[in-house]
Amino acid sequence: MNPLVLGGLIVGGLILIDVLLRLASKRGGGRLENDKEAIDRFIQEFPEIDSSDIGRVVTTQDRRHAFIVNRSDGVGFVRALGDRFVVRLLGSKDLASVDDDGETGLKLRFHDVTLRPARLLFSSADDRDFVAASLRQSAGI
Amino acid sequence: MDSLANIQLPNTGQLAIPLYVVGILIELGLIWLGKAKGQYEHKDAMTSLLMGVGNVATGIIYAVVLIAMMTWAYNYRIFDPGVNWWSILLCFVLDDFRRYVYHAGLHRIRWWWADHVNHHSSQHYNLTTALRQPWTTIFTGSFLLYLPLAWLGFHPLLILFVGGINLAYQFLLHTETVGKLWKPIEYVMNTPSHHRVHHSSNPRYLDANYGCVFIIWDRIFGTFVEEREEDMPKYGLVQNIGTFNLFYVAFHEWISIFKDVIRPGLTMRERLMYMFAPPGWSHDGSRKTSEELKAQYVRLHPDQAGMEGLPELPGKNAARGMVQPAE
Repeated sequence: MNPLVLGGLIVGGLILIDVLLRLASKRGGGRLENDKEAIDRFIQEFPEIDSSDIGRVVTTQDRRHAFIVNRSDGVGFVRALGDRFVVRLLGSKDLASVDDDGETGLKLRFHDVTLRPARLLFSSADDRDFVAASLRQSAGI
Repeated sequence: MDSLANIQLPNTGQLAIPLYVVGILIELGLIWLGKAKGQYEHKDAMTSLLMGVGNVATGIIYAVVLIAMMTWAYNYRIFDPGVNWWSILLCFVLDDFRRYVYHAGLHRIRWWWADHVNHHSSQHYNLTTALRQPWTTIFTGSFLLYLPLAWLGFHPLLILFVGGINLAYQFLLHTETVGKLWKPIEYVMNTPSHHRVHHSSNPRYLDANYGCVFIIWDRIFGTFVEEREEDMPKYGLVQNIGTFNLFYVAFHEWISIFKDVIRPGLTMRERLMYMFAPPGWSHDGSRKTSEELKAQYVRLHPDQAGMEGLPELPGKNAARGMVQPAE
């Protein structure tokens, strides 16, 4: 096959599929409906965690992140990625930094290179402070 | 030897590209119209497609090395079957077995998994997932696994020809639009159902169905697991990646290996294990391999113990041992 035709087919195909996907994809990506959904997603990934061990659940304003504070073992983290979710149990080896950001914001940096740094906004300073304190305790920062 | 120019075989790798584009458009259209099962997400699908483009680009260097190595091995060939219908068929079957072995290695040796992990990193399962391919295969040394075929006497271009057909077939497996097929086909051939199992992170489905065109290799070597309605596949990795950034999709496991290997305080054996042990191995037990995840699942769901893809409960074998008569 002529390399020009081949290149054109690849580039043209990519553009066409990109346009169709933009039209077909739902806007806004994944959102956590409620605390139960966050817990369910967390337990599905970490079935060894006893559900009675789960304490408070805090969700960010945009409902794309949730923190599930366990009574004994780390902090559960649920994050939307596109229309799916990524789940982690954040312990001492996972967090590089936890910094307050304004009144209700929090900046997180992870050691895991596949988790982008997060700039999160909570509904209240109380929520933010609770999550920040839990994460610092869990990470030993 | 036959010169490379004397062998007239179509470039199956190139010819498959229109199939990929048309296939994706048809699947997308069917899903959009509600005529077929499946899901697409814009960023996820574009990440997969761009990984595919990167694979084609990096594959040029790989292909040069591969052809050079195979040509060298072909010069010392044991047989000379030439290029005819039966040598094409035989080469296809032997190459598929080679792919089975290699694929099993890709999942069980971390150094190879680092190359292959990106193909499993989408939480979606559609035809674009098939094209989410690695950029780093040159570092795996996998071209060495092609050499036995060339030594046997199969021409390098014949090996590439059957490989192209194999990859085109595998592309069509990455879909939810096709349910289970006629039983004899499901028994012999790899099908979308079997490959959905392979792309799942459910404990029972981990490290299963490595076959590429024929699933019989899995049936022979005990790695076959049937897709079950009561445990529908959950696509992606045991620990999914949280990015669509192409660089991290392509290189994240290599970065993780590097970080593990340079950790202070490890023995040389532990450093080597971080490179070549099964994915999930750790010196302090802080991570879980597939086998450990399966064992954990069975502890939490004892009624599933011993079922296809899952081990027996640890105590069960011990108890059986106790009632065996002493010799």
